[in-house]
Amino acid sequence: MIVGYRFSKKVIPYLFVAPNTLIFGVFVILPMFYGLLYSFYEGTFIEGLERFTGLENYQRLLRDQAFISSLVHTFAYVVAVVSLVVMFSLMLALALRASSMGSALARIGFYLPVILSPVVVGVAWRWMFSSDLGVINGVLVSMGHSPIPWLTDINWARAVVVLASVWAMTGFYMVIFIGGLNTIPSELYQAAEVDGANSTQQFWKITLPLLAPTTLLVTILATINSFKAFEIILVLTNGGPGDATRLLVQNIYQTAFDASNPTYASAQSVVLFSVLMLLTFWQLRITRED
Amino acid sequence: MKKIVFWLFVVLVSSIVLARGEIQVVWFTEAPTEQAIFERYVKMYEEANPGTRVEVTYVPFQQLTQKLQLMVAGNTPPDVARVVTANIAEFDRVALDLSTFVDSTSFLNQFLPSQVPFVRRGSRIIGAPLDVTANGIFYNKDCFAEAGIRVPTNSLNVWTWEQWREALNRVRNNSKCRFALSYDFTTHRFSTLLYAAGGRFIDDSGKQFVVDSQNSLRALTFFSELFRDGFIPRGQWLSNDDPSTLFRSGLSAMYMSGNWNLAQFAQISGFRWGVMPLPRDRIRSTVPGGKFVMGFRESKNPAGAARFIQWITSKEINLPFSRDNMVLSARRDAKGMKYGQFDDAIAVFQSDLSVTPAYVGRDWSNPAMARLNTFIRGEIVKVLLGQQTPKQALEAIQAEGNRLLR
Repeated sequence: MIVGYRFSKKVIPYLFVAPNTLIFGVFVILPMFYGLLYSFYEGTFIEGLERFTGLENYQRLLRDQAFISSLVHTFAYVVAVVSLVVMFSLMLALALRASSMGSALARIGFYLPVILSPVVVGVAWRWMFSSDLGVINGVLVSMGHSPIPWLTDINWARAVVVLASVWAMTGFYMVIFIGGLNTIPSELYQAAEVDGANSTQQFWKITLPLLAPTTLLVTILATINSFKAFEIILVLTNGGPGDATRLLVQNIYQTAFDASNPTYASAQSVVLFSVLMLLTFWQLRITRED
Repeated sequence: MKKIVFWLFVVLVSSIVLARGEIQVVWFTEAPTEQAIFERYVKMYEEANPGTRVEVTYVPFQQLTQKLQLMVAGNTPPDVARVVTANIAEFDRVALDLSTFVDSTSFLNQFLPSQVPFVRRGSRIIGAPLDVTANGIFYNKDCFAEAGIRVPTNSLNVWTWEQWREALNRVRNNSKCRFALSYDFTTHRFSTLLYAAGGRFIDDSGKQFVVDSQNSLRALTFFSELFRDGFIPRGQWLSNDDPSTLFRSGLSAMYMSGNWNLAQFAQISGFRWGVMPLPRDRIRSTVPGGKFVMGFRESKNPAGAARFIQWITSKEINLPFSRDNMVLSARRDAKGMKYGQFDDAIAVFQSDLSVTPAYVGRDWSNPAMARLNTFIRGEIVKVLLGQQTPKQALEAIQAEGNRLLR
């Protein structure tokens, strides 16, 4: 009887996690393993794996201009998006932290883009910023101004892509910041006021330092999400003009499906995976320390 | 226990029987009317073949290649797929060889000679032509009338490129059309100019890219000038704007695309439109292509696939099917077929096809072109952005093409 109890105590927890582990293993670990394996081969979707090439795909990455430029674009995009997202979501959280009806409505308004499909976001921004048919250029022209090449000029297109992404993401991080702000004891502000600190001083001396863990979390989450950006850009510019807004995920997609080279695309995915893995470890370490 | 075994046996047998009677089809659609038309024909097939069920998955054209690639890679190819020229070359090695089901000579003799090279690989037949496509220019009759420009109507008064450029300039400045020319963002459509200039991608042996030539250079330079001079809206090649929308909304005076748009353009009611013969440079040429049906070697029901392919390409079915879809049938006996209000437009496409050199079709039936499409488009875009010269673009395309052929 005791033996049976001990056995159940040991085994039952594993049975509970087994379905999840199985699903995770089949749909995450196994494809990951295959991705890694494919990256050491040459092959196509049609012919399958044709030849073991070792590190050849990785060596090719080092001299592949399309891959290198997409990697550079990705890092530039991540830096721009993350810094703007952190700044705007913090500003919104500070402005809308009060629990009034107006704040609640505004919070819903700013959160709405988060629940929109990225494709819808892309289409909406395209509709506004299209160089030839966009609403904004229509208004500019009707007011006697020259149209702006929003999506056909390299620099403008990059700016529009970053802004669209920031618009789509900010609401989510605003909610996290509001949660963080609510954990700061109000007594600290009251004490600061008694000591004669103005609101700017309160922000720099109380809010920002105590919000540091939340800011870090937001930064890491936004960084990971930005590295995976794909749909909005695909719909908005399709990576153009030229390859000016083509990021790593789109380059992987095009390598696999347009150029019919899934093994080389796998090597690129492994690089992206490694970057995201490092970021995730960093996030876990910081969360644990916190 | 015996009961369980019995029922398992029944399930097994019936699933085998059902699998044999089911034909899985992947059918891509471009015009909104296509799905309803095909469904009608599927019903006809099922009625004519009791016990057979045709299970159709409709995919937008843009997702066709990816869908098939993944199905083939997952070892679950469909029995039948409707594909385009580039696909039939790409899926060559996994294609169902129809020659094991039909008499090759009489089967292929049904089709226009221009379409046969796409599906014949030595003694194998890797598909069957459904219809013939040709690139061409649609134009807004109202805008041209407003600008006082007479558009060529037949092969005798075809514009030269310079006359075309002059017409683009006049129609933009003297009509309500805000844009002169919409141009599909594809290598295939660009190649219309390449061939008219006397250029080509691959030599007769099929083993060497020869695109880096003076003729090709002339074509790419001319194309980049159309952008530089503002005739083609830059957004169409630089930021994914849809050229078809611009034409259908009456904002663009011309549209370089192809005959597959006819069904869709039949819905246009805001202005009158027509098709003009393609302007000539050194030669007259269009780019022939087509839609095909093909089976897959590893599919569940190859025999059913072969039967369905023979049925849909037979005279009794293919001719009305082509007329319903307003496409050019790939059958020899379709000559003289009437399309009602589209007879004039069809005649222009047929005229362009009739003067197109054979090597144009050979270029596009080479599997290397399917893999090089995106690369070529990227190199052209670099020229439009001023990041490289047309000469550098052609050199890059030639080098990459030869690397793939090796």
